[in-house]
Amino acid sequence: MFTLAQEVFTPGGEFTSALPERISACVCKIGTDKLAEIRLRCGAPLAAIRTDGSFFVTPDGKLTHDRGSALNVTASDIRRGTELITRCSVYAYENEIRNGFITLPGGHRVGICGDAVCDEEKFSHLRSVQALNYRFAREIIGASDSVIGKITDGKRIKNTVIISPPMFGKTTLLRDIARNLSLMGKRVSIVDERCELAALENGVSAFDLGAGCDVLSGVKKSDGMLLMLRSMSPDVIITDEIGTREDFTAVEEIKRRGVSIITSLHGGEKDTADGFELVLRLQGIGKCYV
Amino acid sequence: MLRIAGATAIILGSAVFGFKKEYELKARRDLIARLITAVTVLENEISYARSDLKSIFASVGNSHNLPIFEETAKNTDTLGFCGAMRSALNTHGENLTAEDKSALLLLADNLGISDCGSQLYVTAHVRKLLEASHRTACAEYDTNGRMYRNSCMLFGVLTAILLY
Repeated sequence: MFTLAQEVFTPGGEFTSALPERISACVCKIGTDKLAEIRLRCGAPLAAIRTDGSFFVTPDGKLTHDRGSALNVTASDIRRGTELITRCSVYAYENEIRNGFITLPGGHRVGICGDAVCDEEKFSHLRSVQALNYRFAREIIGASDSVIGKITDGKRIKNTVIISPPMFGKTTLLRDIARNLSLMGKRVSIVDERCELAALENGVSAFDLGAGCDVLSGVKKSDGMLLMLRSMSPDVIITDEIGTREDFTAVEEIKRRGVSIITSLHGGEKDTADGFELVLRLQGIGKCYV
Repeated sequence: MLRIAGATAIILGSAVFGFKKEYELKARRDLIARLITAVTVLENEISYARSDLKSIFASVGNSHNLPIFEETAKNTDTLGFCGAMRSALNTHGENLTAEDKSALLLLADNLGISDCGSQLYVTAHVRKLLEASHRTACAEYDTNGRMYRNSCMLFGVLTAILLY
């Protein structure tokens, strides 16, 4: 999606400290430079997804394609991992678990799945956790340098939708766009429902977002966008992975008020159903680059 | 001279023993009172702020002078919450009875593993158990505390008189 990277910041400490101790020791040995994901599945080999391919990890911290020689993840690893990512406080992460993931300090995300319990046909909680997927967050300063000229001419910011499949760096690009626009003196409002775009901790972002960014995190995107519109008088609202009817309605409202929006969508092509609908709604205001 | 010194030693020894017994009863009563306050704060923090257990236990332990809570917070990362609290109870629970400890072990075994509603149910139940323990501790102190102190001192004086 983008190739220019002037500086890469990988806050790996928070990531490895949230892994069970014996898994963490292996991951530290393989290093976090090219790491994208660590997958823990109960009773299955430890898997590492890197930018150069998918591997299993051996007990002595080496990458392999041989399942047999890989470190086997046990139920106690999953239990310890769950303890570490919830800080031994599952009640504090109820909503996040219902959404399927928990965001760690530093913006890293841990996907959770397992044996679900439903209450009146709605997902209530997990009886037991079967798998944890640790996704490594990266900050690439300068990632948006090649596209920022297409998004803004210095005065007006064009409505922009970034569409790509998962793991292609939508969030990283949005984060750097926010930083660049903020450095240009624009009033940037970030609505960070999943706490991964700005990764606020105690009100401070784990990433460099410049001096002109206001962040609202942990709130539903559709509500958050309208709240920021009313309260922060932004030049642009940036949010990640919109997709629901409410989100589209909020986008229309923002467009009507003359505020620009930059967002992202899951999808392989520009004409995927959701993307197409959004592009139509933003038609005549700006352009989309995929 | 030797007799006076011996008699004084017997009286002092008996008095110290009596005061120590009284102090133990008082310490238990006060510790349970602080634990009840701490569990109430814990309930509020869980239901309102949804803070994590480590930070709640650290701040409550510090503000209410509860080494059990402070030690639990300190070891939560390494031992897990249950292990940390069990270890803290072993280290700092000398003034508590087996009954008091079993109430606190309910917290150790059940906190942090379920949703907010279940957590509040557990904390409310533990608070009730601690309140019952506190009533017993108060009654014990009122009836036995003074008795231990006075009777031990009296025992020392009588022994000294009988011996000399």
